[in-house]
Amino acid sequence: MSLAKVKIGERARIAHVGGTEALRRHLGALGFVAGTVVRVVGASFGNMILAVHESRVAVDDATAAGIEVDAA
Amino acid sequence: MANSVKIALAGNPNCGKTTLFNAITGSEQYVGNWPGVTVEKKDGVLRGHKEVVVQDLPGIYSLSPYSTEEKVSRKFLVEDRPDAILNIVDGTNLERNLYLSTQLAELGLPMVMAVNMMDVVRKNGDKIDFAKIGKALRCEVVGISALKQEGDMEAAEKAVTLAKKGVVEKGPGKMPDVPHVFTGSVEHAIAHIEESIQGKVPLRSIRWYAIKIFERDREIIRDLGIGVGEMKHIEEHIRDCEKELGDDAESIITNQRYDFIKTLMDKSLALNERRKNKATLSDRIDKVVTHRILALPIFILSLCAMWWLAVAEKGPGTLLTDWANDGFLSEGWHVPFTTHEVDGKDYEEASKDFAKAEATVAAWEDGKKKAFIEDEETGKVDEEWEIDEAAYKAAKEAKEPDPSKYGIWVPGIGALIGEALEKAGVGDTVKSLVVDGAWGGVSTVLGFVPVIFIVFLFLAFLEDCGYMARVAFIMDCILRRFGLSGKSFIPILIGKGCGVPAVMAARTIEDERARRMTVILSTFIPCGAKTVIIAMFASLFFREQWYVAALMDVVGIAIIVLGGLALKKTRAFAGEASSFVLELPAYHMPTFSGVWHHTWNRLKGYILKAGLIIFPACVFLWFVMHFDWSLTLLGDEEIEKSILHDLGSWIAWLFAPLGFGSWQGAAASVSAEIAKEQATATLGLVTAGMDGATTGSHIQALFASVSAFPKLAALSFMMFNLFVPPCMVAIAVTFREMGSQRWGWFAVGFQMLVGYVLAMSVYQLGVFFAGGGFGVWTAVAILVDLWCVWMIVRPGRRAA
Amino acid sequence: MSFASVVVLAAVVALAGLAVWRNVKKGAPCDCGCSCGKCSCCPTRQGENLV
Repeated sequence: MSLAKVKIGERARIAHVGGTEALRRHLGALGFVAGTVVRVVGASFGNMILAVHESRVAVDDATAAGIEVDAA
Repeated sequence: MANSVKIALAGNPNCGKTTLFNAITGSEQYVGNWPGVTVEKKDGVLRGHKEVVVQDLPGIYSLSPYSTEEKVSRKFLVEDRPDAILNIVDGTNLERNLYLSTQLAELGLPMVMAVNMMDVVRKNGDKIDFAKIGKALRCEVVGISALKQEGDMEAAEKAVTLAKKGVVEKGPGKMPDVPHVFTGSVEHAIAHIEESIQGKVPLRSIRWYAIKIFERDREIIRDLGIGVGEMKHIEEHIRDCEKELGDDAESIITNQRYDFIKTLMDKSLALNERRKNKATLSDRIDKVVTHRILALPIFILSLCAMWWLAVAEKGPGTLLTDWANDGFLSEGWHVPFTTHEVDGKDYEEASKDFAKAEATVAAWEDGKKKAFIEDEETGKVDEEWEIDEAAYKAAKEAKEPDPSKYGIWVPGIGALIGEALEKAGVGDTVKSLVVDGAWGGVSTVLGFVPVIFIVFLFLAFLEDCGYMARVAFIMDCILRRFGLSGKSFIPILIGKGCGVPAVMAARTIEDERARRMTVILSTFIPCGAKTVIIAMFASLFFREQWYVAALMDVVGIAIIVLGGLALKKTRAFAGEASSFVLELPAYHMPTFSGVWHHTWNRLKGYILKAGLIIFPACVFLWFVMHFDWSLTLLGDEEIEKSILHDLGSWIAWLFAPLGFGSWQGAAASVSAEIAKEQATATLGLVTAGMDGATTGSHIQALFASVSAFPKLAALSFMMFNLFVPPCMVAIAVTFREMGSQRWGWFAVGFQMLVGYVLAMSVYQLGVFFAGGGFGVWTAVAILVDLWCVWMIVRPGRRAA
Repeated sequence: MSFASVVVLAAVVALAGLAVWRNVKKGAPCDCGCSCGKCSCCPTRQGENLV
């Protein structure tokens, strides 16, 4: 399912990162790769704040929607 | 310098790199909290080591050649060949930080990894095994805390030692000792590539280059001049891997790096069990601060808090500003708690008595039967009384109270200068040049330092604690609904300090249209210099309505949103909002020295500007105010014959619909292009002949004389100067960042239109609603406003 | 004009001129506080090609 559907406080394991080459590269450098577990810290109008490893990354709604995840 | 050693400081954004840089070089570079702040490399000399140059590189997440920061850092590391790398890693964020470290290590340069924020790591109860990490990445690893200055110099000196020892090679001509991060077929492919590029690149970095080629890095492939035939051969290897692993080359590399790091972390990082996967304090704060309903009100509330402190009548800002303007810089002031009464009256009462006496004398000599005094600020009659000859005779005997008898009196700088010049025998004209012109103008601007100080202090605190990154996120949530990206908002936040770095920060926006739009819109948020204008007008016209000051910020943001919307509807700017990805650093309590340095730097710049720009401008203005076209010196009452008067009058009519169509308003507005705060200084200078005892009352009198609604005219004047194109310097930067004359002029034209229409609308509609009647210009304003609304709400065009 | 007047006038004009000359030569002081000519807020850095 899409990361956008994960609720605040829940975790999910990344299956695939979608989007343009540039976006995927940037997200990759930030730790968004298949297999990584992320946790949703906050969400507002579709935009999300995600906990990746020990960092917090804010992404817009379209970007979040493009990340495929499985339950963690 | 032949023997100089170059150390490169590389690391993620927010890892404390610049704090470390400041600590080890003794410099005071601005420590920013979000990408785009450090877009250039800065260098400094290592403390105690004259021959060592430390290069602070922009924060990067990776060595790919795509974002501006990455390009700058990569270019330096690969082409300028530093002698050693000092890799700063955030100890509280180890896994992600190591992604860059593996790449740096592959360059084959001597490297020291400094794991920063060890104080927080220890507090969290986490443990890091430096030795294991060092072994895996073939570098030395030490722990530091840049903030507490623990271990920072030692880490730097270690890097210097390594640099002096030379390249990390296993032996002459042998492959360098760099980490092997990948597996199986990927390593195989890399080995092949290394073979084919032997001799084309320095031996120690051959692995890094090979990996880049595997990732199909176009720049590297081009720079190395790898021929089509060679590339075909390499391509086969790459495609084999891609088929085998079911992913594209770049993703394979990224994934395997993280796999390697994960394995390494399992061995060397022990997170405090109790903390694992729990929401941190930062997370909990964020839940509130980025809450879909609370977020914006919280932000506006913080702006209001800032402005209340800065300009509210009873607030600290006004207290200090009044002291500066009326006392310290002009006449003088009593040291607090040392004042006492003389003959049953305090100094204020005694002064008022004397003012009444003067008024009595003036009225009697004018042949009047009544005398009156005015309230300095409102201009209204304070007191009126009847006079007769006896009263006149008594009044003539009155002496001006000597302030030093009422307490410890410190003469103001203006008074001191005036006295010194008189004592030296300087004539009235030159005295006027110095006291009214030069000092008058400069002191007007300096008088508002307290307001600027409070605003800058507040902003520095918000930036340093990490809140501003959240603001960018919140704005993105809102702006995205309108097709705009929060990425554009970051320069706007920077613009609160100065428009120049704001416009330059737009460089980090890759999308050309969004970048152009950001350049055009960033300067609508009032900068430090514009804050002076706000401060003056708040003090003179809106004392009881301090929220007008906060409103200017809100209006600025509104213009950015609405202006952005309008631009988006045109073909040139249409398109999807660019994606927004931003790391949010953990909230942390700003250090006193950090906030102080920030604030003091800005303040220093502002004061320096007063000396270097305001001062000569005021001298120039004084001359064109006191001479006519035939260069004859004019008398006090002859200002209408001056050059400045004529110049101002030629264009004053342009400002008539805005409510301040006089030569003074015109002159002030034009002079604001040199520096926005010059508008306040110019106003002070050109109103010298008006009614009232202080510069402030002169300016109030000016607006009363040009409009029946002085407060509206003042509001209009303020908004005009706030929202038209920024100062010349910022305009120059705008042209530069736009890259073309055409776009530069478009930006300036757009900004001029916005400022003019806004001021006109505020004045014309304000007058109408205040009962001033419906005139031609009211109609014009309404029509123009309707046109603007149409520009904002109409359906958009397709992208060009 | 008295001698003192001439001196003061000359001083003011000279200082103003010096300020202008310095601005032209070194660039206007930027709002970050320094006039180092090197920081990112410096307005007169001649289109440095960062990339």
